[in-house]
Amino acid sequence: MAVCVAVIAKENYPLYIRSAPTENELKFHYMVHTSLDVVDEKISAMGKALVDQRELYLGLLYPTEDYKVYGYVTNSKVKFVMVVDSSNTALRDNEIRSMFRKLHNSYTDVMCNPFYNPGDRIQSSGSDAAEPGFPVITTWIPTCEKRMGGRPGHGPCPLGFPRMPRPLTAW
Amino acid sequence: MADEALFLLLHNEMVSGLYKSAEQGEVENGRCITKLENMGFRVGQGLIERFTKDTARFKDELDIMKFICKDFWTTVFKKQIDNLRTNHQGIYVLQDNKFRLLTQMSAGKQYLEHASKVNFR
Repeated sequence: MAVCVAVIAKENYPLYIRSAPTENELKFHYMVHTSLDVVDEKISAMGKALVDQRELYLGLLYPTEDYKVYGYVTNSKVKFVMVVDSSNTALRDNEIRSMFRKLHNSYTDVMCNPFYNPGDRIQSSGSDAAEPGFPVITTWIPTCEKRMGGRPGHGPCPLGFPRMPRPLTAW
Repeated sequence: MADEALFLLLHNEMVSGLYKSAEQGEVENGRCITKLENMGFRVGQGLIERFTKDTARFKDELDIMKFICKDFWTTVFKKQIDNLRTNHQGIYVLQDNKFRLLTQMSAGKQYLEHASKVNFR
């Protein structure tokens, strides 16, 4: 299951980053940061044969022993990075693509929100107490919850882990 | 179509309303133009996010310019850009001979300076 999701702006600073609180969050932040290099390599014109199909989905960026990191870039050079647990039965490529698709749709809605200033942090009302007026970047949760067999709408965790003993720490 | 006229009238009202409100406050003409530019920029950003969501990834600047001149202009103004010039050093000049937001204005000299304000937007 996705243990960390990050939306990174064109200038390579994070607009939204959320990870499962069961583990050391700093490790995920660091993984996302290092995966940015791989993203840059894939989208640069120099590596001509790397991702030649002009797709927004970049695929598996790099696997570690516990996790796999997937990437996606929009045409406005905003990057989405997702860290997935390897121990789970291998998620099919299509599911990762559809998760990124939903994330892209939510991000587009955020951009069209007139109260959102581009470059600000994105607040998601699916997690801690959010201000009204910011849309929810949690539409991709139904995919995760269906796979986990969890109960939708149970607990405040945006990643849908059903066995949450405590609420998410405020960001 | 009726919705074109609606948007045109609303758009023109917005420009003149902004200028009128500026006259009561500070008298700086430059601030109005900046406000209009920023409004247009923000609207453009949202539009671009929506339009580029499904298109292929842009390989280089030429791809981006082609997208703007053809797809984007067609979707917003229902026609393509008539002339594109460049000096190959990063400057591009887009020319539209029949800009949709200005065609309904009368062709006299009376309000010539105001027409440029609409153009900024």
